[in-house]
Amino acid sequence: MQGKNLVVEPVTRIEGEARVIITLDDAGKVNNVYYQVLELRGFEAFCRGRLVEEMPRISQTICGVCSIPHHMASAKAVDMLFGRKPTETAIKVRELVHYIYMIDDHLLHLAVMALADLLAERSSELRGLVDVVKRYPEVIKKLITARSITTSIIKKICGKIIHVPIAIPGGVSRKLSKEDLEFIEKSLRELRGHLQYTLDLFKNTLSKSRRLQELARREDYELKTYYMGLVSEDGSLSFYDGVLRVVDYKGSEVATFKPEEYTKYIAEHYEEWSYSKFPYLTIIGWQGLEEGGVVRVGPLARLNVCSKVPAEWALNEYKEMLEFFGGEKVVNNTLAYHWARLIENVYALEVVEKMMIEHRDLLSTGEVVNLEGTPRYEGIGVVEAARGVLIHHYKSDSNFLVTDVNIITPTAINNAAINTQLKKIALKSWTRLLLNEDLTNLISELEVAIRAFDPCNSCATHIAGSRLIRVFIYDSHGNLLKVI
Amino acid sequence: MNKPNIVIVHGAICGGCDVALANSEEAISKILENLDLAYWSVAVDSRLSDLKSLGKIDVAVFMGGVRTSEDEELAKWLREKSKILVAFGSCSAYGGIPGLAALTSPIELINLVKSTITTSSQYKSIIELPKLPELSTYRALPHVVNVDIVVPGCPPPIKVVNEFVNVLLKYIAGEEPIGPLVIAGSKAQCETCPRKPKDLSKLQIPSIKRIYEAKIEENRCFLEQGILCLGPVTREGCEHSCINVNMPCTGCFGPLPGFEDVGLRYIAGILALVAVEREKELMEQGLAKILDKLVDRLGVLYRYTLPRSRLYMLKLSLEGSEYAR
Repeated sequence: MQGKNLVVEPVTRIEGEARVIITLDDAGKVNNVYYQVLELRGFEAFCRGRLVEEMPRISQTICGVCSIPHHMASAKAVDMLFGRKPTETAIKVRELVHYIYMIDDHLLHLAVMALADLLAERSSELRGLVDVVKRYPEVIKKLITARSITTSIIKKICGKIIHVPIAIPGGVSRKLSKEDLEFIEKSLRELRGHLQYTLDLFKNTLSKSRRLQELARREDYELKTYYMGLVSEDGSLSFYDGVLRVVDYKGSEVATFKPEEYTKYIAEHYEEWSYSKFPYLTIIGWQGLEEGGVVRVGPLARLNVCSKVPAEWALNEYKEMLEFFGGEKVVNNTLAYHWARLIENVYALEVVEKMMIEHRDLLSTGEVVNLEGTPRYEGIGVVEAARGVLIHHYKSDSNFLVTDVNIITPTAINNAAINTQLKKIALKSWTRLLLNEDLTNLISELEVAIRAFDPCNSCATHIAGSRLIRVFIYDSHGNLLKVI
Repeated sequence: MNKPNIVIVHGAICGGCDVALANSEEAISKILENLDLAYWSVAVDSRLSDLKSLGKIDVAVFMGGVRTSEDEELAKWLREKSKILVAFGSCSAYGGIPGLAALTSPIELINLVKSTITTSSQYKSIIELPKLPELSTYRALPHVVNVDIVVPGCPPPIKVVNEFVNVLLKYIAGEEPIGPLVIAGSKAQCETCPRKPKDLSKLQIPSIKRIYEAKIEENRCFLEQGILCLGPVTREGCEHSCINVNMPCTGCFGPLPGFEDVGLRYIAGILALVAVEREKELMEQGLAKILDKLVDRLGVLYRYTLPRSRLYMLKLSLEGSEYAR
């Protein structure tokens, strides 16, 4: 083997176990970086043989953080497999839950994963949530209150907060009661102020923190990739339904397709060194872990692909972000993912507020389930999870037992981009890795980048494991020098 | 004064247990107040080497099933070092949903994952990298080591999480663990179910219906509607969170005390109920016909408990596995 290897494992504050491997050449210079995902639970295998109608409840346990989008993507795949159009009431109930989930997940990421990176004045100053709690107790208190609102809405509608049971083929298990509606309306009014607070916090920090400004301007955090995301028929930002659009790093449209056509546009590459696969765009082809060939999904990608943000507050916030990054239509800086998340929160809130006015009656009256339809025995469901495009694809036998399952998660789609991003940072700025101080700083910079993607390796491989990255350093003869 | 320490460690997880713990402000603040949170990779940047450098551990909370060789090694190490070992969540306690993979061999599992609809066939390795941890025979934590406290639920609900922390604090104050203690009720879901029929002994099950075939009535016992519900064999303690939103129980709280094998007990109970006053039909059509809607028995009856079932033990012993019991 050429080069020395440096391995960072586990990476902290991400979901699911992963490690970073850095290989050095004879001169001790970085020559490659790998982001390796370490566990496998094998949902594609053991979901075979299950009752199709139970898939929304089973497959969502791929991930306890984004169980709701798994539940919804699964429900949509199951609707299609049974050939059923869900009732209007069911669609609205699902959308409501999904949009509230989006806010909840983004807030959780902010509190647990991102804040320590954003608020730190020096690299590695804050070692995760516990340090943030000590230094900025009032910030955490606010976020806890905000999340208690989103989780209580989800619990009110779904009975549970994580691994929810409501979606069934062609519908939902229940509609909302008057009391539910009143509770939600009251909660939404409180949520508004909290979301304003998170945006103010972020923007104030950004305007004051030299470190953050530097990172936001650094060229090695710029990644010129393709972007993919769901947009509604008119090109608006959408989380639950629509068509998939792909744009390049300048914003030019490369493809737009229906979710059912995804196999024509997305294929998965497998490498023996990771349990996570590497989905790629077939129109570009698998080009290895290279900037020009990979695709990104998630909050930043969604804003980059959509042509409209049809909500007043969110649009203003979005314009402000674009201005900060130079006014182009597409933002390529990886750290902008954090900002995009907060803008999406506002958007989700505005969508739900509007829904509560326009569809109040529908949510609490009408049929919850449609039992009619001609089965197709194959179904595909796509939604936007907090981390990006999520695809569930099932086939069944005539007795509605699952025969085939394919699940492509956003973190798997981002897997190649994460690898590429790490390589770019490490190759660009770091040459004398064996000096300890440099090493600590490099690892910290790599982790900051990884967390900006908000990766969820439980999702990526439908895997498991602790959420730490370990760093392994290997020398040019393949000897392990160090594990950090 | 030195506070007792606590570590929170993962096997094969989905992350839901971490979020469930984090969702309880009460539990988190009690933990931070009374214990030294020495390792929880979600919340504190720390590496496995930090965990391994701890001389002693007072409380170890294990989330997730035992899937890889590394998980197993970690579980055994924790047992050795810790005063109190906790199986947190249904995966750790009973195997959980990923436990449905228990009957699939690791090689088969990897091959199936590699061969999905969109996987390209021409894969190659760029470079020889450190090997991935090996997948081992999937097991629940109590199958690998003895545990002191079991916290069931997929994931454990806030009320159970809070109760768990209270029990923990009592132990730390000096009460001896009388384990394994399960933080749940010892009765069946049905006993406290809001849909409990007036006379449970007269419950009859019409022909079995699958969820896609039925408009489920609210406020009426699922079994009376022919919808399979695992309430009769599942511990109470979840406050009927699924039942309250008109969905039947799937058994995440695990088996009732004394009945480790949920499926066998359920089949025995349901058979009796389905057969009530249908002797003639039974004679003419045979039992198999009446139960033909009970398909995917593994996924329905053992959704969270397959790795603790007799069936799995039988498989292991037939294979001559070292893990057979």
